[in-house]
Amino acid sequence: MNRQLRELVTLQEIDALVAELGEATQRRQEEDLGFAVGEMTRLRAERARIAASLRPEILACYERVRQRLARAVVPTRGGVCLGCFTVRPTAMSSRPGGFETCERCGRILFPLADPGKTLSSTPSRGGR
Amino acid sequence: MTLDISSLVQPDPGLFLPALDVHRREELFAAFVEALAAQGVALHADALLRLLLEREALGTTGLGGGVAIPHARAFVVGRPAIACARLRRALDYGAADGVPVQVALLVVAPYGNAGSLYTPLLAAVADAAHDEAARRDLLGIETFEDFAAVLRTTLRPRLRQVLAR
Repeated sequence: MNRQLRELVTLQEIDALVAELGEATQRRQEEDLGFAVGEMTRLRAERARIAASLRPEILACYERVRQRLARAVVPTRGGVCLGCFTVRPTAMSSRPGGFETCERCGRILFPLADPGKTLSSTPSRGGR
Repeated sequence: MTLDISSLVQPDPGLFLPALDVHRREELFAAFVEALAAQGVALHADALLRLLLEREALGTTGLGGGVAIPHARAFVVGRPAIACARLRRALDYGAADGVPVQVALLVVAPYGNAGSLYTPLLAAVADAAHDEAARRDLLGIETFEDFAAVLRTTLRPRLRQVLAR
């Protein structure tokens, strides 16, 4: 997966977290359980940093899809868009910004990683 | 709606990390995410790791008494899951009481219907961490069998109670 898509998937998660913890009830719920929830300034700054790192075409597409769908970026599995469950390749469309969208629902698509693929640096596990 | 609590808190050996040797929270989260990815729970490991780190930066999920409960609802999570790490050495986690963390329980769930039990599940785990006797059970987790027993006897009844409220 290219870096732009990786950043976009993260952006979507951060947007959802901002929305979730920006909502008073959810925030209070977390605090009632004993979790600390501080100011959102840093999180919003990270959101702005990621958004600024994206090509304008992909960011504009993301923002456009978000207007009508809760989830604008979805994985594909076995050639199927996991947003609307339409099969590729007839339902895929390559965009000038170097990303693909589902022709049926318009969501931006990313391939599911190989489950065996791990993060670049992981600590050792003992006793297994 | 039928709530399948048993499957929700099903012990999964792939989601138990015994004697985990980490020095920083980032390493702990990376180990959790790696396990979730290997079990097909995390659909995008990097995004989930960054989300967990951002959530932690908002405020500590170290509840005190040596227990931490990092958590996230995420689009890149395929199903609700609880993972557990027993740390080889206590980790300075920035918990409110300053006590280093010995056991961490990670709670994740997707958005939407599949994740509707996220908050009850989180509440059940947090409740156990705040209760002295239950916290002893959590801190006593050394093996997968211990983890499975805690899920059955400590967390599952609490989840039922939370759902009954």
